[in-house]
Amino acid sequence: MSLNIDRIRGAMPRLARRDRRSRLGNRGSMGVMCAVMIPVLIGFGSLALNQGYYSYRAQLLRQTVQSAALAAANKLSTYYSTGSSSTVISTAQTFGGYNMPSSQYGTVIPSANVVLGTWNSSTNTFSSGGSTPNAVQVTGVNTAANGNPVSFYFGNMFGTPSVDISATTVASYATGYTGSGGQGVGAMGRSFNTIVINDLSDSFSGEISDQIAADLAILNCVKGQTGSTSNFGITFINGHASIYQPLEQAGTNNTVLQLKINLITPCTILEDSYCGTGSNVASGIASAISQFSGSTYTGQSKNIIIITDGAPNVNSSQTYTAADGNSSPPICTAHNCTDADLETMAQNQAALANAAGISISTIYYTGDDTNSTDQANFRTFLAGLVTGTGVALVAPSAAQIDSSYNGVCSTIPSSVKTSS
Amino acid sequence: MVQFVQHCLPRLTPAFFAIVRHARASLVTGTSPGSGGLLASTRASVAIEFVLASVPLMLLMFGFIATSALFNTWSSMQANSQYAARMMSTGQIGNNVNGAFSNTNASSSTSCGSSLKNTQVEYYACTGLPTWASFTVTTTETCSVPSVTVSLSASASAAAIADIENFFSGKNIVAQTVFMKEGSCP
Repeated sequence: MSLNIDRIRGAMPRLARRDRRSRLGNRGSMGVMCAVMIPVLIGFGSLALNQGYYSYRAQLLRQTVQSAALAAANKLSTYYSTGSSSTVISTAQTFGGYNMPSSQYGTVIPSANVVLGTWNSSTNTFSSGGSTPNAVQVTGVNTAANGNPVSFYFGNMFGTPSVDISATTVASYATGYTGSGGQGVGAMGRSFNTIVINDLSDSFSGEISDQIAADLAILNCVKGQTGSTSNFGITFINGHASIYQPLEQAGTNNTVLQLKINLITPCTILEDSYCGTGSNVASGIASAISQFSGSTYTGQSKNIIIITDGAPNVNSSQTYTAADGNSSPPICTAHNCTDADLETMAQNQAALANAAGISISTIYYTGDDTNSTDQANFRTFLAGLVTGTGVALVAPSAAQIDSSYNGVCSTIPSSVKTSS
Repeated sequence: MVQFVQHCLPRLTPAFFAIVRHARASLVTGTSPGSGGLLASTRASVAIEFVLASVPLMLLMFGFIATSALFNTWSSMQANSQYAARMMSTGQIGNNVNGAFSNTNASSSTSCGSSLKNTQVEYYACTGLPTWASFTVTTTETCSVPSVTVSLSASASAAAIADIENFFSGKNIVAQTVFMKEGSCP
């Protein structure tokens, strides 16, 4: 085999030139790769970033709406005392602003997005409107239509500069929600042990049927909305307090309790030697404090609801004892007590109740004394007895003694359901 | 992912800069293989292009990692602040690090740490937070509203883990939740 040396020599320059062109061709290859890879990297990177930011903003909005709804539900009683939802709405917006300031996030909760309605804990559904709302639905929005969408990083590069998000929360005093569907942060099912104090003084005897209706409604509220662990009791007051119905479980003893309530009649001297001895609110509070004492109710919600037609009035022939609320310290001695003393006694007992973790609500029926000065004084006095989560409600008509219970019930905002 | 970044970053970063140093040294001394020195070497030119291109690519990659870690931390802080605020608003927890809430003890500020007790609201704000950053928790009870506020703050640079360009240096991230105080206040 012979080699053609001349051919090889002739081919060498060509191979050298080809190799040189090849080597020169490698230059700039990284630039091409970068030109392709950098947009891809930025694309996937911004996708990851935006997902993280979106999750954070959705979480922030959801928490903001939950806070706003719970705050609004806490103010639901104002709907019953004023007939207006403005306080409920403004409270929701205020707490929305605390968590997502409008200067930074725009108006997250427009007033139209705060809706009063009824929460059905059996079906887990909310119905807007109704004459006796027990829940508040709040919807928070970060949308382009609302002028505050969530902006994306590098979003313009991909044609999606922003995205709309919203979150809805329903907060109610009902605690029956058990968690299926949606995300619950509440669902605590806490008890709402309640003692209703019925004023059986002569002046209020004409509205016994309305007190009965109110008692039944409160029993139903305690039983139906707060689980089977809540207890319910009734204490009568005139110059003295008497326990008409000791605390019993509102759920399991519901039928018996209803029957007992329906048997309430105006006070007769044959039944109670204290009939016609005025009304002494302090004695009722003192009795309720005693009933709630002991370890049975430690750490539980304890509530007193006073239904009365005015401020205390004294019985000059009565000696007011510690059991009548004349303690810590005693305000007056035998036969020396005045109406003002009874008011002071009631205020002292309310302070003791507050110290014992007992909330006091009052329902004041104004119909038995139409003097405007008296009404103003009574209203102020009864509002001053309110403690804890209690509310001061006014019932201008006898029928409203009953409907006012919704305001009391609305002080149990311990359940929340969220969707987003 | 976080463990990967924490463990590999200290090793990858020196290696990366070693490549850069080697390439720079080669450029100056012309010791790269091939005739005519480095500037004429086609293989070295690819290395230089890689170095030049990889710098922004690496910065971009670590920037994404850092920012993602930041959002992850921020999200955890937000969730914890809500949890603690809810515990405080319902009265389930009635103490801060200074003792029981009262008119004279309505606010507190402390660092998250193992000394916190589960009877203190700060404990619930700090539990489960990422371990790569230090957090300060502030609690306030404002009875005039009434409201409770729980704030968590952290250095953004520490929260970002891989903030190699100090992009977040000097900045803080804050997560805050405000709830209405239920029940008696204080």
